Amino acid sequence: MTVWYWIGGILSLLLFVYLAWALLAPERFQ
Amino acid sequence: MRKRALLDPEITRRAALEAFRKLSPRHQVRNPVMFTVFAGSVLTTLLFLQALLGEGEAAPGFILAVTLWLWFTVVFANFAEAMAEGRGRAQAAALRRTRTTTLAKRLSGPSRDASRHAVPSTDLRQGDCVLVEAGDVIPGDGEVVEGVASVNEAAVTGESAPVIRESGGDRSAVTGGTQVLSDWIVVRITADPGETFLDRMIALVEGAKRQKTPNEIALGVLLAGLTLVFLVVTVTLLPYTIFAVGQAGTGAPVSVTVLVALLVCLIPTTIGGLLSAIGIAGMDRMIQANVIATSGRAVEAAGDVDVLLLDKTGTITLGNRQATDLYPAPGVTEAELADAAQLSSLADETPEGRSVVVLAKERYGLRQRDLHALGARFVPFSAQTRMSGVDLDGRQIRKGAADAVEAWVNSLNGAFPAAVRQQLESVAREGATPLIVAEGSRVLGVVRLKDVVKGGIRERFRSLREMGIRTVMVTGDNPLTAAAVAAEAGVDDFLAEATPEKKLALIREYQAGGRLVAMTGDGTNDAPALAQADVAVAMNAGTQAAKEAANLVDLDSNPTKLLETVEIGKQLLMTRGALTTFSLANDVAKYFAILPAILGGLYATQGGAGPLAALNVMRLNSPESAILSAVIFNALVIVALIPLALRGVSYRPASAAAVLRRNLVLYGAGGLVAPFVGIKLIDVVLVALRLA
Repeated sequence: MTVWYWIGGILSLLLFVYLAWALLAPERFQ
Repeated sequence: MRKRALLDPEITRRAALEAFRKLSPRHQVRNPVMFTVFAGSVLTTLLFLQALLGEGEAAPGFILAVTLWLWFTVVFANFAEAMAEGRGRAQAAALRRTRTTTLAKRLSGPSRDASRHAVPSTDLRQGDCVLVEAGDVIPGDGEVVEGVASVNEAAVTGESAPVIRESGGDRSAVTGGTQVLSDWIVVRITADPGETFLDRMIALVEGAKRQKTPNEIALGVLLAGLTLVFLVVTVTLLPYTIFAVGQAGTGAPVSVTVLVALLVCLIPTTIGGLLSAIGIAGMDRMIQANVIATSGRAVEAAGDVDVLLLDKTGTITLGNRQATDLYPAPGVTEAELADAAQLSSLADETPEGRSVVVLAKERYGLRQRDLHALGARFVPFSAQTRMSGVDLDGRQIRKGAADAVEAWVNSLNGAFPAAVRQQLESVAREGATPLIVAEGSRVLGVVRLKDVVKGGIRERFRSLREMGIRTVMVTGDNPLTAAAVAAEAGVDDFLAEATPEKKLALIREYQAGGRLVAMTGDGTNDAPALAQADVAVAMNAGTQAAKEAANLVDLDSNPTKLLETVEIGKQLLMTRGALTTFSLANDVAKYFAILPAILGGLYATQGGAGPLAALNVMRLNSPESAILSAVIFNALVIVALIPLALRGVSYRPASAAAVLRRNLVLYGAGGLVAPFVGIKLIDVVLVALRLA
């Protein structure tokens, strides 16, 4: 089961970076 | 333009297909909210595959159900966007139908007598001159350089009454695809094929070049921020439940599937999924009003406008002012004044000019004369001189606004009689327009033109005032007339004796005060002011320069349309605000559905239910049915709101405070209550069907 925690955790981290990017440079998301 | 049913079967079918095509990550990544749902769906799909192998974190059936509904959420949002685009494309197709290839009579020079040969309209280039005769279709956008013709513009405007197009002046622009009904014109083509005004508009309508508007970007930042916050909130629940289970020794930590479901339910998917559809639908509504926007930004700006500059003639008053009386200056007979007034108006084709001729004929028995036979030279009206008239046998007869004629008389060392000044003030105070007739340096008298204020316009201005919009009447009339008409029409302010420079200065003054200004215009001399205004509506019949400077073009060339344009813009902003409110308010119920499902089993003392199970205020059947109901509601609400996003919220002119209050009650309180009811209902149905 822990492998899914890792997958979920890494995915969340990537999403976090992506969303922060969308927040800081919204004009790039045309 | 034809009104389309909200759910046209053909558009709906194509949108359904398009919704699946839009599942590509490259498309999804542009919308942070929906991309988060997309990523979650991928993760639960993998979890389902693992569960199939028998080592899953939950029953495969449950994970599959959640996964499917997460995918539906993405597809439904795609469907909303595809519906709006499909409707836009249908509009574009209707516009494109006016773009048929025809044979054009290309001329070797800008004259009817030049040699001609037939070429397909697609071979015409900017600068080419073509002859268009009665029955011919005008092969491309252009400007009339010679001749006068009546043109049927129904292909573009839907209006079957023919319009006059002639060289010079502000009615010289013709649109490709329209048909000449009588006479002939020589047209200079102003656009290469594929680059005509309509072509560019079609590209925009189809969404190919759609850019996010400033408001959409701002809302996008808010939505991305909320998504980020909820991501952190959701992720932290996992270590928390692991810790709690370890401490109490009972219960089970939350599963990844349930966390994804919670995240998707909490992030603003409703508005995130409908946002682009709302924007496209706004442009679509503009087009249905026969107004074409050059960008989504223009439509949005129309909703933000707080000052309207309205041309008096055609917008506030009926276009046709009528000459009703003549008041001669001291020492001038009425017949002499009538004679001069008629001579100066013979070649003046404006309704005012014609009414002067008619008045002189009916009241004073003066027969209409032929200017050419008299050997007279017509001096046309210009925005700079604001006079028109004739030069005839050494006589220079002019008629025009008082200040213009006075300046002219003074320049010829004449004097402006005090009695005439009194007369024109008394005419102006009645709200009528005085025209002064002068011959050389001698003032002959005053012609009284009566203005008729349009019915219902006063009420319209009152509702605009309630919305916080200031109306300013712009007119070339003198201040006294302007004040009388302004008072009668109920506008907030007026600009009298307006010149293009004064208009431009007024717009800059309002903008310096932080206001957004909208105006309409059709002439080349309007172009600087149109370019300066935040929302500029050009008349399709107007000059090319005016259309290039504007960001909206009214195909019907109806100046009153400015009011409708503002209403459509406001409706767009209200729709977006209402759905955002609704989307955010929905979260409360979803907390009450999903949190007890996650936390209800923690710290259980007896029978598997812990103290946090008390949060289950909806008495949902089981943790699984609660989570599934919330996810299903979240997906279905997007579908349910598609018609509202496409049609826009019902619009009523009211103050910003009243609109806010109404929308808070309707969409705020509604958004709070609706999911409690919806989720409970879905839970009951799931249980009845033994699906959970």
